Amino acid sequence: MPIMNNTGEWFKVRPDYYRKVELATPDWPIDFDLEYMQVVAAPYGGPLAAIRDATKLVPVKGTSRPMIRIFDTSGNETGHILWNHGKLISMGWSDTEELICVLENAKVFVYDLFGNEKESYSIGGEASVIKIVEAKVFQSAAGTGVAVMTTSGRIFLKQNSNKTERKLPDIPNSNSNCSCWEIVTEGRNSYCLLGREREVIKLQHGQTVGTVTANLFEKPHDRIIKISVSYNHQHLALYTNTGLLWLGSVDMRQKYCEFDTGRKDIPLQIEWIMNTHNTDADAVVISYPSYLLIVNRNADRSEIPSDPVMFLVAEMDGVRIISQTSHEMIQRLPKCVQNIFAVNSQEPASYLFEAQKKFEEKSYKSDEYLSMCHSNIELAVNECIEAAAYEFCPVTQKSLMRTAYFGKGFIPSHNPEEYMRILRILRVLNTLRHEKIAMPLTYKQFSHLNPEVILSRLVFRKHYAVAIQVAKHLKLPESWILEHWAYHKVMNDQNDNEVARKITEKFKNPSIEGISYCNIAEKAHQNGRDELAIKLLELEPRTSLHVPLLLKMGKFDRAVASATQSGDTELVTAVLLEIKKKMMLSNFHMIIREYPLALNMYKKIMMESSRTALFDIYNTEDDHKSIAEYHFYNALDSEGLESNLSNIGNSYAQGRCTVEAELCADTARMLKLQKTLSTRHNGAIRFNGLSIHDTMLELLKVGEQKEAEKIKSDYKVPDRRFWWLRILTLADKYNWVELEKFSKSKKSPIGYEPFVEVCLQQDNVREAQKYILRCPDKRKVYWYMRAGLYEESIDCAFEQRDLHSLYELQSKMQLIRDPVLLEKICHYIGMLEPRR
Amino acid sequence: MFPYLRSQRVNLQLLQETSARELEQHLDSIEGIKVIVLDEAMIGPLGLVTKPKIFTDRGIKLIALKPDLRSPKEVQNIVYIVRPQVKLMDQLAAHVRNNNQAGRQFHIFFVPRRSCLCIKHLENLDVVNTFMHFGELTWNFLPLDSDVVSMEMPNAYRDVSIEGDTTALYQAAVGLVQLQRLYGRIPKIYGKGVMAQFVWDHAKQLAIDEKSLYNGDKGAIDQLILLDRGIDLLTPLATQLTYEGLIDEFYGIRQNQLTLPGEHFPAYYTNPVAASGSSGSTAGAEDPERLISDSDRKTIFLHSGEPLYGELRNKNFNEVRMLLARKVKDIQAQMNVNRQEQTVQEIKNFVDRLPQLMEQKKATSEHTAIAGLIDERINLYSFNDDLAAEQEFMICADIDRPSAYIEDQIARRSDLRNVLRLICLQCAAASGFKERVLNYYKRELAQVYGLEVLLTISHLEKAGLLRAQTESRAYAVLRKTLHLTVDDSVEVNPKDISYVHSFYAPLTARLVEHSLKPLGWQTLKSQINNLPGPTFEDFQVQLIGIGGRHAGGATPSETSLLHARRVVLVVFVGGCTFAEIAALRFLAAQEDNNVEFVIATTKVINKHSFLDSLMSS
Repeated sequence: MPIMNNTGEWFKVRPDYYRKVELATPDWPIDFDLEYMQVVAAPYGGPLAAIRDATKLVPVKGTSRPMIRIFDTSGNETGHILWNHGKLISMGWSDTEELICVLENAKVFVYDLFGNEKESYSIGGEASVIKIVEAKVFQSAAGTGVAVMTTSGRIFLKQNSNKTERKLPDIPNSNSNCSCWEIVTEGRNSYCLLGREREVIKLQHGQTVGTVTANLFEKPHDRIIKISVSYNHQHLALYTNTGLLWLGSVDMRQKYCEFDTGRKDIPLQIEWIMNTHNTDADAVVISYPSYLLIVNRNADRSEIPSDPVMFLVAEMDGVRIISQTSHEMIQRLPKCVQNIFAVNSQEPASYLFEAQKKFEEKSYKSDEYLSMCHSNIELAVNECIEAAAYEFCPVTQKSLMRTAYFGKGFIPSHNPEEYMRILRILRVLNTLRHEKIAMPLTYKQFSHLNPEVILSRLVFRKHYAVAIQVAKHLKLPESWILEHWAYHKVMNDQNDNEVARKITEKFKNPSIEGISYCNIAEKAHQNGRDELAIKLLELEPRTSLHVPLLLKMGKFDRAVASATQSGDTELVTAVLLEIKKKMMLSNFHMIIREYPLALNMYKKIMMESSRTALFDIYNTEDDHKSIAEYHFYNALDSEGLESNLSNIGNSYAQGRCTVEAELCADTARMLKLQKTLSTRHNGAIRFNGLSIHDTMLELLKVGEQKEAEKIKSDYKVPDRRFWWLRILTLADKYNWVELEKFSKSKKSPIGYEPFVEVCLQQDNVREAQKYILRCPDKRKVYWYMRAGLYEESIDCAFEQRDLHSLYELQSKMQLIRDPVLLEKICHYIGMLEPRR
Repeated sequence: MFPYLRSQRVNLQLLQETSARELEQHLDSIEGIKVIVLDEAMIGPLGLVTKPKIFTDRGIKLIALKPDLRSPKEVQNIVYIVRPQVKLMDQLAAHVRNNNQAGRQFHIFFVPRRSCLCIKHLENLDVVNTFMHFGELTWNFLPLDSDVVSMEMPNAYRDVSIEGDTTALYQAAVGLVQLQRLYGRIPKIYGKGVMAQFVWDHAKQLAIDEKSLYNGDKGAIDQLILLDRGIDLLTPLATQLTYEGLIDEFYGIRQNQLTLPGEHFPAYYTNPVAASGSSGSTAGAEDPERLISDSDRKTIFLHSGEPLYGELRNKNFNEVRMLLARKVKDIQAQMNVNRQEQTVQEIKNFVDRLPQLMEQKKATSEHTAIAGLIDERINLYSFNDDLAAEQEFMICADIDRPSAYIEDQIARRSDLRNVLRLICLQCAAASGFKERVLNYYKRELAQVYGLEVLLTISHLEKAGLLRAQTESRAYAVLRKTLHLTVDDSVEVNPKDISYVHSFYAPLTARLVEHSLKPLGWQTLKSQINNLPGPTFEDFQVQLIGIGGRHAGGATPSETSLLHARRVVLVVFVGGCTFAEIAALRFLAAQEDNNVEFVIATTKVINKHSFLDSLMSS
């Protein structure tokens, strides 16, 4: 338990309490001495950069080359920059934790917190020509900007590398130098406040001349030597060479107080202390060597002895103090903490805290304390929870949360959400404050940055495991963290197999959703590691996602493979169209022939756009049947079948389509024959182009029976078909005599039913009847019926004892209502029907 | 909006609503007066998921794509809804050129997938820059009826088997994922055939990201059976003998609509009572149900929303005749009761029932007319002769020799399509021809119909409809083991699915029937080994993440429902016939099976449309 709940660290600047909290004890490297260093630190417990202070005499140790060293707040060196760019004027951190270094020649270099160069640019314009004497890195709503002052006393602002620089108006009467300056941001605009002699000059972009404000101080002084703007750009502090401090609003219309420090030495830094409970500030802290002075608006003061060298870092809810031996924070004491821990506090939360303590001691007093806060217990619980969030010491946090837990038991229907939320966040905050992570954030900073930013900062610092745990704990997506881990592996591990193995090992956990191997592969490709990229792609089960990267890498072969594997024909088509543009046609063919789906899709595309390309494909494939058909279609389109027949036939033959080839030859022969036939008939009959069958038909029609028979034997036309042709043509011409003669010429290979049929087709029942007699007995019923000879049909059916047909006839007779026949049928049916 | 899609377990209204919403959202995101221009092939499918109301509400006019049609000046947006067909782009480009004016914007929606080939073609035609937006309407399965969804891709089987273009299969896989998104994870999967396997493999692959699918309990569908058309090529070639099948074969049912010449239905133009009393299903120019109307033809809606049709559609036609006769008698009896002897109350009852009765009367006479048309057709000798020949093949009579009947048909130069159909049917029944027989047929066909027929034959060969014999005679074996042909079949009040083809039970339906039995699929597996393509089964279990709470027991919800009706999704990859649908509905109607089917198909096909798609070049 901390002694007196750390109330010893409290101090009063009337009417408010402030406190100094120990965050961590930095463990600086042995060769690092703040005294000789110039240090800039990023807010939100971010990294700090240090370089040897050129203005101080330093005992030389090791190399004399200038070096920027970057540390985290626990004193671990995260990186260093061997400086070889020229004279460094100033450094500062951007809101995305980049180190911005401004050079004398108006060049700006940007580094990440590991000291890797990210970009460099020049301020440009006039500033690049004239030397720079001073520079400031400032935060604004539009991001982090750089302000430089040239030897000519002009000031330029540059928001980032893409924007052009802005020149602020000249300083009026610029014959004497200014002593100090600061950049103030107002909405999206930034302006400069300069201290010169006894006046403050405001230089705003767009105005032609600066505005001068003088006579701010009542007491005598020579000049303003320090100027400080609060974190929220609302308040201004001025300090004179005579030790006078002026506090007021940034527009200098309002003066809070004028305070005489009574000191003649020059302060190191002045920073406003932002309040913990709102976005305002009531006091400033001034650092002198070995001494901190806190002055508030009411001109009350408090002082704290300190290390000889220290650096102040303004935060959104306090001021951090970094010194050789300690890392502390001055902040206004949160009201809730004061309520609980203040001596003789009468607040309900304080009673609740006591009650809980007594309860643990198993003391009856617990109940007494409880009764004192019982009416306000909800407030008390909430204050305890709130206070826990403000505490840095886990023990205190625990006791406060335990108090809240104890207290909420007395509240019916208490909503535990806030309690749970704070518990969760505290756990994260404590983890972040651990020296290994070294991100000492307050609860307010944590909420302001929001967890996603913090996760990305963790990831950037390569604390992947912690980041994943934090994400899990806060129920945030975690897969992207793994993805970053994989990126890191891809970029730093040179062994392809090892990387792929490690990545799959981590990724195979099924609870991880939405991880894309493709993104990682893309990174690998960007790093010039195509081999690894392909290995990683192979791990991605959704093959369609491989394609874009494979195309980008020029791995057309694999792109086609992946596209076909995905089965997505649209994707296959897209790939084919894409790579065909980029390849030699022969190579293209070689690739796609390996993949049937790709080949088929390509054929289909070509079918509609370019038939000759199709021919090329068939040729490479030695697909002779398709070649034959290709020629065939072309011939049909151009009406030139005859000249192409040999071509088609040859291809068929090469493709081992023997029948087709023979048929082509037959057709060719036929076409020749047709020509002679046509000439013989003086063109009266157009034979040309008719099929073999139709040619015979035409010949039979004109009575050229001999010729037809010759064709029959030449082309191996089966007897059946020839007979059909004969009887059809005969019936067509109503040549019943010939037909009968023909029927008797030989035994019919097709039977006599066709004879019946052709007769019936010409409605000649009498002729049909002749042939029905020659039909097989079984079929007679049917043909009689079809001929409409119902009586014969009935008789015949009876003879055949064909009950089924009789039923059929019965229903037919019912339909045509023939009572005589119907009776006959019924009689027959009665005779045939089995007795029951 | 689509009451006939409603059903208890797998309510396809949901699918319809989802699809319609997709379109509505796209339309609402386009500001200003708009006109929708439809690809001819999209008119029907669009009608399956949208009613004209959603367009009239938004003041949108629908027109069919005709290149030289100009839209009025005030139209600010032209929205094309098209199938991704390159050929169509020429017309579209012409239409764009004719309608291009300042301030007008053009949008394309491809159904179901944007096509880079089409866009490239538009680029070549130099109109691509006029388009604001290339969108897609991801409509894969469209609801036809309360238990049928169709992709409306008539060329699916052809594209895959002849051209090796597996787009239809991929889209079917996408569609299956979509269905699972709507109706939940399907735990058990059975399948047969190469195309079926392709669909399933990709559906599974596509579902990798659908974590929510695997985390939840199983969905409304218990089982998925994927059947490849390629395993049963006999059924689609055979003549269907159900009412619906016959209507489709003779007149073609397009997206639940039957269009017939108006002359067959004179009664409705003269009888105003019947016309006005209808619920919007009669024909006529101002028919509110149709998206684009056609005045001198009569359109009849054929779906389960029409009670009489629902009753008749799956029956053998011989039964339909009887049922219709009975219906007519019923109605007559009800209309002609002697009113004078009735009490006022009875007469009031009658009057109350009158509109309903009129409705019934109208439906009955409508279907009597249709049945009459069909009757005429099936009484033709040629129909019966063909049927007899088909049935000979089905019982494998003289299957290995060239068929005399077919030879006669060739000799008489009968309709080529029908001749080829019979040859393919014989081939399917024989499980492939001996080379000699095949060559004989080829020679005969070429000699009679000309050499060009070889190109058609080549298509049929690639499609597997004509092929050389392999060792196994799958059909002959399965005919015995699975009782594909039934000796004592009955067409009226049947006891077995074989009634749909008089005595032949479609193989696909038989497979489904057998798979319903306990251990059915396991027993089937060895039996259907001889059919082409792999036999596969798969399970999609609930994914239990690390630290998940479902640790106890595998999936209790999946086993405890033993007594509830199973819902089985049967997917026909490559199309199915109405007879097959009827057979499955018959199975579902049997109480013992305790099953409900949802049927998904690439397209409802019949012997004509199937062959047509394969024969076209």
